[in-house]
Amino acid sequence: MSRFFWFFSTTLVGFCSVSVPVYAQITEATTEINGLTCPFCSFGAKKKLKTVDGVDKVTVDIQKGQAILQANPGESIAVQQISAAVKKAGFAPGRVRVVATGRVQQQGERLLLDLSGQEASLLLNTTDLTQQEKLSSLAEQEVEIEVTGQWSIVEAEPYARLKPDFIHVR
Amino acid sequence: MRSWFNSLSHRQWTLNALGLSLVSLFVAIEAITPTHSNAQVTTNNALPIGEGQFLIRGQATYLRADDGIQEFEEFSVPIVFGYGATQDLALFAVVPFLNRSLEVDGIERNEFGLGDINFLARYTVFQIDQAGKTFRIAPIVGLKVPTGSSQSSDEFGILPPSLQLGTGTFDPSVGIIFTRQTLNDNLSASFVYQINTEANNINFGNEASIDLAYKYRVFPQAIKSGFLFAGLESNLSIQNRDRVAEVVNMDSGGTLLFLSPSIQYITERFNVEGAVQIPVIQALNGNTLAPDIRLILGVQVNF
Repeated sequence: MSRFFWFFSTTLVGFCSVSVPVYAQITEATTEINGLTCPFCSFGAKKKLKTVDGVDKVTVDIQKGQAILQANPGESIAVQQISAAVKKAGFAPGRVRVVATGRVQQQGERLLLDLSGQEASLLLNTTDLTQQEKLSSLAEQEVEIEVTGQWSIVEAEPYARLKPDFIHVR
Repeated sequence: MRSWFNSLSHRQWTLNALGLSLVSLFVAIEAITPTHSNAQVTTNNALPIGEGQFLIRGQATYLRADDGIQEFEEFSVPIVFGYGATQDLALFAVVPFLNRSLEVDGIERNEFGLGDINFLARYTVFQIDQAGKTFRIAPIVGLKVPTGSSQSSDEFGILPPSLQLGTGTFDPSVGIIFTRQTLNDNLSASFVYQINTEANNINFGNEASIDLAYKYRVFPQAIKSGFLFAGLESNLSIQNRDRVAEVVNMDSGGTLLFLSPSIQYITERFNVEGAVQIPVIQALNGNTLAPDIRLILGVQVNF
């Protein structure tokens, strides 16, 4: 009985200590907030942005007119909710930059950042040939990468777009 | 938000109760504070309250009016409860607690308690938001309800209107607010017109309030995450004469202009402020006592 208990408890502890894979997530998002002009007003923006799914921490920089959202460990930020959150706080949303991790998949000419089902994949939107070749190579290698860039969404397109500025192999 | 002019036209009451004075008071009492987030000290602005966000703003004000014959004092604590119903619509309730006293020839009368609550709704109809700056236009409508006593009395009889905490009337108001704010300054203008109705045979004159305020961020750097502003505000109030028992009270109404140097320290969760209202124009009708000075201290908290 005691052996069974020992086996059961160590297995349980083992399961609990195995973290959820940290790839395939939007781990950070930075959104511009137009019209943000004072600390007191920033509270409303921070409060609304904290309601975005996957968000753990929000830091508002009034001088830069932006908010940085950081994801809960193991979760991905629902970037598509950010615009509505900023509007509900009474401000106008601007550009959104994200840090996303995942694996590159090549579908024909499309390069996708696969977020492994936590989010719809992101279309890596680049016209830089060198960058395209690098991403194609990374797709073949099936390695995890971290991409920083501007996030955008286009109506009637199945994928949100991510225009990479920095690509980092993890 | 400027409150109603409580034109302290208490000729009949002072005659009846004190038998002393024919002089009426005319005091612009601001029992309503500016209603919204990061508002200036005596002037509304149109900055947003986020959807679902609450704020509480309280001010402690002291007002004094003395002409050597009569001495009027008011200590008030108007508390503003604000709620962002939507991103554009903000609702407010302004709950004033008042302590008023009037001394004439050594006889002092006073009253303390809840005044008339003013309910307000502000809707942003126009806004231009850019990085570090915003311009907004927001109409505002209000209704003052008679929650304060208007028929209180003491051992001398019924108190004069100057001491009553309420007017006994439902008084609608309408106005519009303009605000332009950057990271460094704020310019706001507010126009409010209030229609005063009749109760207890008194109809206070309708009043128009025009407020203009400018504040400037004193230090370019944040101080412990807060901004320190110094400001100058002007409050112009014009009120028609009162009617008492359908008779126009010639000793009531007129024009008052205050200038108010102010200071505010604003952080993410709270805001502390202070101002001194100095009367610079007192074009009052008849024998009307005008305010000497008004001190304001306030605090505001976000939820």
